[in-house]
Amino acid sequence: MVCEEAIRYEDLYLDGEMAPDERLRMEAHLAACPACRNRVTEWIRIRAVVRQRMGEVRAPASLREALDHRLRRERNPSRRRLIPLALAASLALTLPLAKGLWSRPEDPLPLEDHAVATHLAIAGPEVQGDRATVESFLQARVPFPVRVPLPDRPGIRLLGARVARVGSRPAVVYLYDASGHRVSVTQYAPAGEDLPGAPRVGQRDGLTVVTYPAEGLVQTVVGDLPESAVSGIVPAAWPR
Amino acid sequence: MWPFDASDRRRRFEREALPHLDACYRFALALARDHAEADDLVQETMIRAYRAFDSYAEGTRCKAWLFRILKNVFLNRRRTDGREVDLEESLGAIQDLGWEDRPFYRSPEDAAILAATRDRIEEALRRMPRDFREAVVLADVEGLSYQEISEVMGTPIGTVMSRIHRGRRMLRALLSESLGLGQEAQRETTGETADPESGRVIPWVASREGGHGL
Repeated sequence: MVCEEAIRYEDLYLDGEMAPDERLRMEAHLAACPACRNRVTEWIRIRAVVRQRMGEVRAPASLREALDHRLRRERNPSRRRLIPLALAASLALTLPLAKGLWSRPEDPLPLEDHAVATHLAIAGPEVQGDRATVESFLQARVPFPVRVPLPDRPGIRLLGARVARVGSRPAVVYLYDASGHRVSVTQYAPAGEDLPGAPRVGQRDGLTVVTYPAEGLVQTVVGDLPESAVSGIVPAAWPR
Repeated sequence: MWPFDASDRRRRFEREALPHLDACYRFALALARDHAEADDLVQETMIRAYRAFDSYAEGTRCKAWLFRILKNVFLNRRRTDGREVDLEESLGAIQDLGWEDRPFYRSPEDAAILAATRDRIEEALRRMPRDFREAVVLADVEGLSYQEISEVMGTPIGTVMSRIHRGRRMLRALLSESLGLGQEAQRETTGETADPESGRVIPWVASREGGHGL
C-alpha cells in the first residue's frame, strides 16, 4: 500500500469498516510509514475528543418530564374508550361470542395511528418478489387471507412486505414505490367497530392516510404525497 | 396466537428505547434549527417509537431504529413546513472544494484542536452543511456503522463514506479557523505557497454569512 491509498482509506480504517485483508495491508503500511501513522493517530485523537465532548450533551430535564407525561397518557388506554369498562364487561357476559369484538385495552389508539407509526419506523421488506411469492410468504405467517393490495400499474412498484402488528392484531405492511414516493399499505382483519363503511381520508404529520375496506380486510394507505395523488393509487374500492 | 401485554411493552420500551433519549436529543440537535425544534422532534419520535414498538425487531440496534424514526419525523415536518430544500441542503451539494484531500502532518494546530471546548466543537458543527454534520455526528459521536448511517440518512454507503470523509475534514478546518489557526496552519503544514485558491479553507462559510448562498 502506498500513502495515497492509506489516505483514501483512513476513514474506513478509523471506523473499523475495512475488510480484514485490507486492514492488514493498512496496518503494515502504518507500521512502515511514520507520516501516515501520525496522521491516523491524530484522527483517532480528534475523533475521541469530539465524541467525548459532544457525548456530554444531555436531553434537558424539561424534555424528560414532558415525554414522561405523554407516555403515561399513551399508557392509559381506558380513557380513550367509548364504551365504559363496566358496560363492556356486562355486554361481554350477555354476549360471550362478541367478546373479542370490543375495543380491547391493549389497543390504546386508533389503528390508523399504528399504521402511521409503522410507516415511519419500518426498516424494509422481509419478503420481496412477485405477488405470488409475497402472498405465500405472508400467508404462512398471518391468520387472515392476505392479498397484495394495490393493482399493478405504471408508476407503482411493490418493494416487498413485512409482517407487523397494529395494536394487538396481526397485520401485514406492503411497501411501494409510487413514482418516487414511499407508500405503505397496512392490511389487517377488522374487529367489528373499526371496519369503515367508506374510505376515510386524513392528514397526519404531513402524510396522507386513507383507510378503506377491501375484501373483508381493512387497508390503511400511508404516503408522503398529496390526497389528489392517492386517488390514482387506491384502486376501484374507492369510488370518487 | 399473538400474545400481547401492554405492561410488558412498557417495560421493554423503558429498558431498550428510553436509555437512548440523550442520543436522540444529540441527533435531533444535528438536524434541527434550534433546541425547541430538537425537543419537539425527540418527543414525537419517542411517542411514535412507543406506538410502533411491536414492530421493532429484537436484535437490530434500538438506537439506529430510533434515529431512523427521528429522521423520518424530521423530513415529514420539513415537507409540511414547505422547507423541503433549505439553504444548507443546497450548500451541501457543492462539489469537491479541493482542500479536504490534501495530506497534512502533525502540526501545532492539533494540540489546540484536542483542547477545543464543547462550545467550539458545537459551533464548528453548526457551521457545516447539514448532510455533513449529520454524517459526522452519527459516525463520530454516536458510533453508528456505515450501514446504519446509510439507513438513517437514506443514502447509499458510498455517499455516507464521502460525507464522513469530507465532513471530518471540514470540522477540522472549521475548528482550526475558530481557534485562529486556520489558513496559516494549513499552509504551513502542507508546505504550500500562499496560493489564494488553496488558501481558502471553507469558502462557502463566508458566502453563507453574506446571505447569498450559492
